[in-house]
Amino acid sequence: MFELVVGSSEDSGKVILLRGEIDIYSAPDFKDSLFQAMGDCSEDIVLDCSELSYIDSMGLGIMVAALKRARQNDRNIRIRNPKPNVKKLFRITGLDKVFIVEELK
Amino acid sequence: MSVKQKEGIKIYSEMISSDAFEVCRQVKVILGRLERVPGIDADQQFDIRVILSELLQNAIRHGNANDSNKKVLIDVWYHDDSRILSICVTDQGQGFDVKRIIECREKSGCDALAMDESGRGLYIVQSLCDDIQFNPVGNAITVRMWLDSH
Repeated sequence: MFELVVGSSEDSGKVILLRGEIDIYSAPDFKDSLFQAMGDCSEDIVLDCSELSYIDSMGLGIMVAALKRARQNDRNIRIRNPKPNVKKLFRITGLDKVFIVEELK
Repeated sequence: MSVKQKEGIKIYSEMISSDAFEVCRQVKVILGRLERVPGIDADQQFDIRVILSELLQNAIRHGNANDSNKKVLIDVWYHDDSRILSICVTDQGQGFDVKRIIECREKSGCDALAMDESGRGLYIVQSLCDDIQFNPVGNAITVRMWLDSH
């Protein structure tokens, strides 16, 4: 089960909450809804991963594609509060150096 | 199937179709069966799920080239004396140079943004398991996890 919730904009950008699991089955939905939520990339994006319990290379690849799109428009994507296992995959793949990964309380 | 694998406890051995929904369903079946293996914690369950998903995605997309008529064989064995979990995924494709993909990733170093999903997936598998072997044809990958070392 996966859900993407577009929240309000804040100083650091538009907050998008990712909830549930991004697997091979839900990845196409994630891609469509994320790119739709990004719109014309008029502001930075914050992907709130605090409720994201599973992701694999397909989901990470979609995040990378979204980051490339944001950067083409001089925007950025922040990964907020990923769970330890999700954060571990960012670290393994080196994406923790590509994205801004932030921990907010 | 090697003799060594036959000495373990068979957790799962099925041919599944090259279909995303089926992959997710069967991965959850395997995780359910692994609940009978003592001492697998939530972090290991996460790692096993990622490994299975990556291997199956790789088999379907690159091995079977998304051909829905082709199947994927999954074998999962547990060796209770050594506490080793073995996962073997075999596709029906022509085989490809899996080692080269991993070596390319290692050579490219930190260019995480340029990596494709396949390279990223196999690199994740390699990082989460203790041993990874490829058959000569390149259509079967066997990974092993020492459950007590994680």
